[in-house]
Amino acid sequence: MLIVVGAALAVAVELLEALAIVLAVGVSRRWSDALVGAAAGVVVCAVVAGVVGPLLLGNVPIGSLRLVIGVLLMLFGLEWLRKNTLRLAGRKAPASSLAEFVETQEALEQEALPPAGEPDWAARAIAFKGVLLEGLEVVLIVAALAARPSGPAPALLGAALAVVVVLGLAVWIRRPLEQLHETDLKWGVGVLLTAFGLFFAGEGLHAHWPGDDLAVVYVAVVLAFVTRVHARVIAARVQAAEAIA
Amino acid sequence: MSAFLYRTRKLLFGETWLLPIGVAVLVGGGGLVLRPLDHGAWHDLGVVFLLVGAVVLVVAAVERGAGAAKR
Repeated sequence: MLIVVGAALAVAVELLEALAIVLAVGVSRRWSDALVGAAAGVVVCAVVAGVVGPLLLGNVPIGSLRLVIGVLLMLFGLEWLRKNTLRLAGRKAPASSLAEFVETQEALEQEALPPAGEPDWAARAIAFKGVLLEGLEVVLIVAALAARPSGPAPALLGAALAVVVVLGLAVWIRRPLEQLHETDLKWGVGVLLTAFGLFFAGEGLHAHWPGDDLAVVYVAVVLAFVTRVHARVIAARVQAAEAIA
Repeated sequence: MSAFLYRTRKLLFGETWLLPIGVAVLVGGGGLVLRPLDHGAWHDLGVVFLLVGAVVLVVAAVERGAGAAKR
């Protein structure tokens, strides 16, 4: 269950970012070119997934596999946790797929729209790049979570749920989610990925987690508590410094 | 090409070197130094080392980021 939730949240966040770029291309240029570029990105990601997944599952011994998964998830999770704790403390601009949407629209405004019937390569390239880069992160995270001894089903189920929900929202609203608290969502994903990473790395190094699988929960609680308190301490420190100045 | 390498590095290791180096020290130090010293103690207390290490790592990385933002 925890892996389903972790995979769903991580994939949803990455998909939102890719979606913002594709929506910007579709709204400001033509939907057909946005979809062609996005589809090409999806195909490349699928090919990479077909290589990375079986490579991890088939060729690495189980002990080493746990360690590799743990380290990969810790690298992703700690980076997300760092960035979003800084955002919570007001020391970094808030995460926003709306900002990506606006930036992409502005970049495309500089390119003239080709006549009807001719391919819009600038639009296709931007949609392709957006889907490819965010999609590769999805592939790595899902491949790491799927390479658990319990099998790939929970991670794939979580990823599938995220795809359905995010694509459903995209079709429904056709613009980025302005009201979504992306910083909180990304901070939560950072907590979960780091907790999974630590848990798998501990297993891979033959250390025993009291409570077995439940350890993911208390590890996540510790990480969440420390980073939230830390964000408040930094924010208070900055406020105090500004008051003195 | 350099943009591709930068993006690949950012994808795998993030925006700072502190976290990947810290993870390497944490996992390498635990697996290659502490565990061979005392297997029993590592089995029981290794997770405390990993959890405390990860907390220290994220706090240090955030502090460094907050300092950089201030400058």
